[in-house]
Amino acid sequence: MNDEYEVGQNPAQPWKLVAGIKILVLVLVIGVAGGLFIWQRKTAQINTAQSTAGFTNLINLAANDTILTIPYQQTLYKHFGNAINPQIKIPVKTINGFKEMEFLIDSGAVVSALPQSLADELGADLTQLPRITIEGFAGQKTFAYRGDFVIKIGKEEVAIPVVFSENPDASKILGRIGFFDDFNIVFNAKTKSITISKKG
Amino acid sequence: MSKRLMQWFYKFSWKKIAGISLFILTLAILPMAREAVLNPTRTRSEASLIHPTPQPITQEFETPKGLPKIFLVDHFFGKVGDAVLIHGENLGGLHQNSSVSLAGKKIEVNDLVSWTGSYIEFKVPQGANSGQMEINILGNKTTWPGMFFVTDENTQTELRLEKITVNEAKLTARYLQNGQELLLWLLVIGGEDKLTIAPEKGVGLTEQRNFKYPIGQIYEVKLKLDGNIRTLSNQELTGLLTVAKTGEFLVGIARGELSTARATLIPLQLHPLYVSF
Repeated sequence: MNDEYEVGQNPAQPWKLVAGIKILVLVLVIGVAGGLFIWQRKTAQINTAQSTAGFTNLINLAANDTILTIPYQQTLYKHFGNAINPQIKIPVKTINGFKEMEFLIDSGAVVSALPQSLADELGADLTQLPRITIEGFAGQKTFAYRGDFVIKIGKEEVAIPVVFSENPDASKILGRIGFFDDFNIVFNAKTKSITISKKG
Repeated sequence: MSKRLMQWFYKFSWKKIAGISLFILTLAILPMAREAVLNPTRTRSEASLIHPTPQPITQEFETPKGLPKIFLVDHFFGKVGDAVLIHGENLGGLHQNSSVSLAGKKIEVNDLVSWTGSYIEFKVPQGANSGQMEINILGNKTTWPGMFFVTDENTQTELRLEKITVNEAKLTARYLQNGQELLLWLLVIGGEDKLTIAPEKGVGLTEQRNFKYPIGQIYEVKLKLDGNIRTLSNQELTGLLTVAKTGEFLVGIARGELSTARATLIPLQLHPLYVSF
């Protein structure tokens, strides 16, 4: 069969155009499929804790821009025995640069909280911040001042709403607004670690 | 692109192209479908996020068993929008025949946060003026004896109560201006032990009395300030008195009024209000 003759000699068939369209269609399909595949891989990477318990792996993950993985801390309670303590040490921006502080991750808290005594160090002027009341465990009301503070998750600096509590015994807490809203926090029982990753 | 290849594509049927495309897209979608199947079920309604409901006024109506009383207006100062708690008893609850007023102006429902039999929480309204807090519970009125100060960026006079040793805290002040006399309520929470109040040089302790409230013990003191203290306070934080305790408890300033020689009051604020030592 003489393909060249059959194709080239038929003036009614713009064969090159048809071949071009077919190639374009295939390229487009491959492109779309490739895009979907890459997007899916990226989403899966963000949402999945990749650690396999090894501490080196955890360190490597911690160095990643978007993912921070912290090994579980456990406390031996007198009444309950061994239990996970969801506490993490993260750098907090102070007037003298970043300083590591330990926080309790608390999905039951609406907003992150810090004791009022840290306000000066974090450069917050309480006289200018709005005063609100917050309720503790037994419904006890405490005054607090609503502001923001900056923490470092991996290499990223994030401003998070916070209240500076007047309760001198207040714990450092990472609550829902600005933290659970914008990050995926995974408690991975298999790898015994907490993974913080950016919302996909 | 070579002519042969173009010809090959030309002869490649549309059916085959459709089939190959379908196969490639299926391959790409399979992992996504798997991910979707394995993902936990969404249990949160997005509708609640789109139309958030405003927080209602918290209330537990308790029928008053006697006349209303105000123990404390906490804090006794605040900017517009700041939260304030009125602690008392027989306060009832949110009711059309009950009201809270600051300097003679009724606090509107929008600025009320909570109202129970033992406390009322409100936010300092826009345009509020310093003055006395009055409550009207089902026709029975009572007023807190202290003054509530509406502060702003022009409020310079400030008191500070800070821990200096394990058993001592120091009250300092700045910008006392023309203040001649300072009335203070030191509130002791969580302890029955004695509080010792020692004024600094240039400060005279003219009066002291204590009384008990359900929320704690109040030490009311009146301090006479001399000219040197006032002048110094315009330059730096100046010590007014030292508070020493014998037990473990929380001490705070529950009321503060700085008066001039002409008996007018100078607005003031305090940070921090409570100190644990």
